[in-house]
Amino acid sequence: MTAVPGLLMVLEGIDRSGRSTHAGLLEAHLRHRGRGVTRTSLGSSVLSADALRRAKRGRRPDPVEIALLSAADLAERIERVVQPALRAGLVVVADRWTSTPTARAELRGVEREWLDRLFTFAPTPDLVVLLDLDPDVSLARRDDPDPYEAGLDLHLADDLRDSYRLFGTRLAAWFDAEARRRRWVRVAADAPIGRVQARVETAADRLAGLATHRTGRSPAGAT
Amino acid sequence: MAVEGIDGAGTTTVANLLARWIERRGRRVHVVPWDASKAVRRAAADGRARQALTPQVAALLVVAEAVRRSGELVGRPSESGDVVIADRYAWTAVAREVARGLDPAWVAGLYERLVAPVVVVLCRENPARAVERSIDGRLGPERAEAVTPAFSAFVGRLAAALDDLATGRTKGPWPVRSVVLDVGGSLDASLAPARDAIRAALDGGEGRAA
Repeated sequence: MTAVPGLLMVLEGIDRSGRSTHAGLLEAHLRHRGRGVTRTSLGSSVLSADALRRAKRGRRPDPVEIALLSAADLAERIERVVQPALRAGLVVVADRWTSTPTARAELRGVEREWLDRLFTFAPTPDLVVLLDLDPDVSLARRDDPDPYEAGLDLHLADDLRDSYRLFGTRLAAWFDAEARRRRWVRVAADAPIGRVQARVETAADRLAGLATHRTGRSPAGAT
Repeated sequence: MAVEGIDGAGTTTVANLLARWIERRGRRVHVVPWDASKAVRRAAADGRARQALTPQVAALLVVAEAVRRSGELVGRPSESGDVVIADRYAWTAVAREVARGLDPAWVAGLYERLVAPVVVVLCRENPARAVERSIDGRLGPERAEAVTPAFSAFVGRLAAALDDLATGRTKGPWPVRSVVLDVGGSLDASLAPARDAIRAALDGGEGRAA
């Protein structure tokens, strides 16, 4: 196991839980405290982002294909953004990591064991903050849910918003179980923004006192 | 079923001969040429995208496309009772990624999600001879001299990775009956074991793909 000096902090949570807002606030906070920060977000790779969007919008989205494209998206960002930053001692703030694509695929029937093996190349985060949000609140915060994120392909309900609520409930339960198992930090995301921000910053500050970061196994061997 | 092998090992010839033989036994056959990924080809042609195309990213993009194509080209016709022969499939794909340095177990795991064949025929050819045949006439002498060592080394690793899958030294994506054809000699004689394996699969009514 190689030690690198940087830290990997991940924000997870369902749609409209404020991940990207709080990733931005956390970056500003850490910079203010003198730490170098890089941010990365699911679906922002050069090679896979478009294919991922197309696959989700297809007539019959295939959860295995989407999981593989999500892995390609993450692998590219790890190699180009995350690992170099961690090696240089920076803090990487990631808006979602392996959990969101794993949850979306597992809730569509893809075996968890296969998904875990797929993502073995991803370094284990030093901190995961789950922004807890009730699916109803999430729904109230958005007008037009994305059909794949609403789980419309699972035929839980004919109406997009009903489907979003039902799928969001399953997703929230999945995150709840994962957070308990992996001892994530949980923050109630329907609290006032300043209070959420303060709790995220406290968790990050506590961690930033640590010096080393563990890397994951890489299928390519040496990285 | 799948016919696997390095470039120049005669997979297309073998796939077509086996297809005709199966058709004579009264089954409809589709021969599906298995292309490399379009996404990866596009990325390789674009300067900015090429920089992001590491072996791991390329492997994931290729398998994502393969999963979709496997469902469309192999899954659907074989569900209707036709025989599908893939002219190269998961073994060749796994071997390519292993030859590029990725972990065989990780790569084989990715390919578990393709429709599983019931017979894999590996066409084995001497790598040096196959390289000579691929380069011969296509490149000028200087260029050929420059690329041959690296290409030969890659094809050698590819052939070794395919052999490892056939012998079971490395675990493939699925348990599957496999036949190795040494295509150097008489093709008709060397096809006999493949025909036996296919006959057993067809008569046994095994699965969807053969």
